[in-house]
This record gives sequence, C-alpha cells and structure tokens, in this order.
Amino acid sequence: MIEVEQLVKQYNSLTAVNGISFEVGRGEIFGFLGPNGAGKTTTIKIITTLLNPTSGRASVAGYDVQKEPGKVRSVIGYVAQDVSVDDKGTGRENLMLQGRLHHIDGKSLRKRIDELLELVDLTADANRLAETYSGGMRKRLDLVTGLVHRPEVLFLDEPTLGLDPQTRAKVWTYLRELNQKEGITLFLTTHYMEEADELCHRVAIIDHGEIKALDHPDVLKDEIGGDCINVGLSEELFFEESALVERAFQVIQGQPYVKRVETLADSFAVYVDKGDEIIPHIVELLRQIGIPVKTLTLSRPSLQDVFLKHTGTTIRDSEASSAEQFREFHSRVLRRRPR
Amino acid sequence: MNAILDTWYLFIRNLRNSVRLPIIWVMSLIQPLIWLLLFGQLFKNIANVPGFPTESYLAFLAPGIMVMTALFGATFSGMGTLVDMDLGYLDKMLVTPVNRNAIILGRMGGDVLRVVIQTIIIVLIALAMGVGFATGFAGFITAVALVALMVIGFAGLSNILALRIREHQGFMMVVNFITLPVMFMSSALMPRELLPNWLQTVAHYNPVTYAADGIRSLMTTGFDSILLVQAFLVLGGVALVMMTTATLLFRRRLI
Repeated sequence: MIEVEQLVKQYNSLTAVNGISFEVGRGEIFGFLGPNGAGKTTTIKIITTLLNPTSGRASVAGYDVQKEPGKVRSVIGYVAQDVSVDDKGTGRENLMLQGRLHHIDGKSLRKRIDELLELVDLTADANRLAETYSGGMRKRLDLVTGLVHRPEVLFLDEPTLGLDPQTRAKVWTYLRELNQKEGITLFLTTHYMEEADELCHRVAIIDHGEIKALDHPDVLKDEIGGDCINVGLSEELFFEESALVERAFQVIQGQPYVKRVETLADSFAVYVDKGDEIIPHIVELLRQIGIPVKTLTLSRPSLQDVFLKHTGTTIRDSEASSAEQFREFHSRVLRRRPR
Repeated sequence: MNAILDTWYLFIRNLRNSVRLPIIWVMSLIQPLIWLLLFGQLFKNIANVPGFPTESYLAFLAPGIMVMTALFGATFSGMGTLVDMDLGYLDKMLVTPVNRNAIILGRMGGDVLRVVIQTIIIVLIALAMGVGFATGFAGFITAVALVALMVIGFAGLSNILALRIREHQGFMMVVNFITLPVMFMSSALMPRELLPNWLQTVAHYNPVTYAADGIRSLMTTGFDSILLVQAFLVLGGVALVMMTTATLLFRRRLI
C-alpha cells in the first residue's frame, strides 16, 4: 500500500530524514515510534504530498507521490499533529467542505457525514460551531474530516498528543474500528510507547532520521531477551536474615535457565526466557530454602527497553512533560501484572 | 470545472466565516466613518481655498474615504491566508485533490466581496449625510466596479506579502507601514493640484489616485470618459498583475 525507498530530506545543513525505506501492507496498522525531531512528521508530509523529498521515492497505492500527487491525494486522508478544524464552521460544515474538496456529490456526502458523526459521537453537536467544542470533540471532528472520502490509507501524525487518558482510549477504539470495519490502512507516528504497543501491527523505531528497527512490537520485545520475574520478599527478611537471602540469591543464580539476577530493595529481579514456565520452579526453590514469597510478578520487556537498545537513549526526557512521563511510567508498572 | 467549483466552495467558506465574525465588519466600518466625520470637520475650511474642486470638503472627502475603506480592507486579506497556514488548515486543504489556484482565489474572492460591500455601506452613509451622486445609479455601479478592481489589486498585494513574510507580526507591521503612506500620497484626501510637487509625482504613480479621481468625478461632476478609461486601465492592470503574481507565488510556495 505504501512503498518508501531511500527517502532523504535535507533542510540546508540539517538532514531530517536520512535514507528511510519501508513498506506498509494493505489493512495494516503501521507505526513510526520516535522522539520529536526524529523525522516522523517530515516523512509523513512527504508521503502525503505536502513536501518534496530531497531524494528517494515514495508511493501510495501504486501512485508516485511526486509524479501523480493528485491520485495520491484522492486515496489518502491526513490528520495533522495539531488539531485543525475550521472554528467558524459547524461540525457538519467542516465535513461538508472536506467532502466537496474531494468532489463527492451532495447526496452520498450527506449520508457519509451522518455515518462519521455517529462514529465519533458528534451527531448531537453537529450543528454547533466548532469553536464551542471541547478539546476532545475537536480532536474527534478533526479525525473524521480525514475520512469523508473513504480513503484507503489514513495518515495520523501523533493522533493522541496532549489528550486526556479517556479521550486517548476512545481514539484508539475508533482507530481499531476503522481498521477492522472499513479496512483502512493506518499509518501513524507517535512518541508514546504504549500507543505503538497497543495499536500497531508493526512498528518502526526511528531516531535522527533513520529507521533503527522495524517489526511486530512483540518480536522487537522478544529480541531484548526474555522476561523478568520479580520475586518480592518481606522487608524484615531482607534485614534480619541476610545470610538466608544471600543463599537464595546464589541458588537462583545457579539455575541453568536463569540469565541474570538483580537484588532490589526487597525483591529479586530474575531474568529468564520463558517466565511463565519458570515461575513454579523459582517458588519451589525458595520454599525448599525456607523463604516465603510475598509477591510475584512477571513482566515482558516494554518498547521503552526496545527503544533504549536500538538508540542508546530513552525517548528524550526533556521532550516529554513530567505528566506524560508519569503516565508512561504508570502504564509500564500496570502492565507488569502476573499471568 | 472542478477548479470553478473548488473556488466557489472556498469562497463561500471565507464569506460565511467573516459573517460569523461581526467584529471585522463593525471595526472596518467604524474606522472609516470616524475618519469621514473627523476629517470632514478638521479640514472643512480647505474648501474655501481658491481652486478647490468641490463646494464642500465632505463632498470631496467621501470618495476618498470609500477608497480608504477599500484599501484597508483589501490589505488585510493576506491575514486569512496566514491564519490558515498557522492553524494547519492549509495543509488540510492541500492533502485533498482541490485545485491549487482555487485555494488562493477563493480566499481573495471572499475578501473582495466583503470589502466591496463595506465600501457600498460607506457610500450609503455619505449619501445620508447629504453628499450627492452626480451620475446617479449608473455612476454608482461604475464606482463599485472601480472599487472592486482596486480591492482585487491590493488583496493580491496583501497575499503576496503574506506568502513572502509568512508570519503574523511582520506581516501586520509591513501592511501598516504601507497603507497609510499609500493613502496620504494619493488624491484621496487632498486634490492633486494642492499637493507639493514631489507628492504630485508620487500620487501620479499611485493606483489609489486613479480610484479616488475616477469615483470622485462620478460623484461630483459627471462621466469623464478619459479619467474613467485611465482609471479602469490602471486598476485593471494592477489587479491582473497582483492576482497572477499572488497565485503563482502561492503555487510555488506550496512544496
């Protein structure tokens, strides 16, 4: 559906995109994961005909973005990073104009608009000016203005940037529905790990204008190497029976299936390949030594770890607000639930 | 065909949005009205100077204020283009198969109609204040046509500036820098004959002079064919050049 070959975009001395190549299949949800300034928006603007590349080529549905931009535009929808709706138009008027610019005739356009308003729960507010909408409503309207002409591919640049968690979850639901019910191919950029993880069939890790890794999120995480079993013990035990704890550490480390053990404040972090199969063994070992297990959690590596491995940094801290970092952290912790 | 339809839809959007922003209408009418009243009083006695073309200064000033309304309204046009750019709405239009020229023509079309309507309102107010219209309804229509050409020209210029400056504050400063001198260095407020020599020369090359002189003759004396042909040629030429340049520049700036 989308083919990109050796794409390069230079702004004077700055190389925003540095030789990117990838393909996206029909019906796929494909994600670009990377920090701000990694070249995500530039790439999306080239594929959506808003920018010319310095070199390389890109095509959508078989149409070259530079040779047949008109054909490309008729099969794509684009939802920019910042919400851009016409504030002085009603929700319905916004959608009507978008449909008109795609040269859709009045009758089928009106029907389509009713469908889309229904999809994002804006039917009741369709005839109010967009300037009276809440942030979430504006975002939803913006989302469906890219869908009026039933595009084959929808491009979304940071679709949930700055949204509250409820609205974000809703947007994810709409996107999944669009993908499943209308068979629309989705291409999205994000710097949220969980978004890439939740939504995307395949993820490209992009940094400094280059693709560092590209695969299914689970495959990327498996490459990191296995699971982490967190064995929580009581604090008193750690303080009062340090010899016993030390012995348990040695025993666990001595097992052939254990790759690495770390001692944390009041727990062990045991790195193994197939955590779910190993857990009973660990519990049995500790029981034999005479150490009661207080908590037990199994976690898989997150995309954060994947990102770290391929780029040597976390998504640059300075760019995520502390609230975002907190959410990011929070969601990682929550996902470490026992199986 | 699509190009015409596209222009039409974007023209309607622009017009509709301006109707929903009444402050634009109110302010762009109040300002020239204040000037009409203030200048009308301030320079009242100039009409007593020997050689002054009209009986009262108000009769002389009214066409000038019409031209001023047109000038100020038209040079604001680029602002809408900048707003669409800044809010990403331009990108939203550009990812559709919409005709590229339609985007800028629809923008200017809506602005031109709005400013022409504002100018007509100013004429009606001037008429209510006792200013006459020597050539009657036919002359009125001719005057509106001259105003429209002038607005197209300056709306084109405004969009050219917006596309080159690409930033609100700089744009507003340049527009303010241009409009007042352009108005004062014309025959809008003072007869050409009473201007100092060097200003007469400047006024001679200022399209606003031709609009002001043409409309003034229609309001105060009668159909002056030489003056009118001159005015239509100058304003039509400026309109054509500015609109073409703005459209070409817009296309070139896209990618």
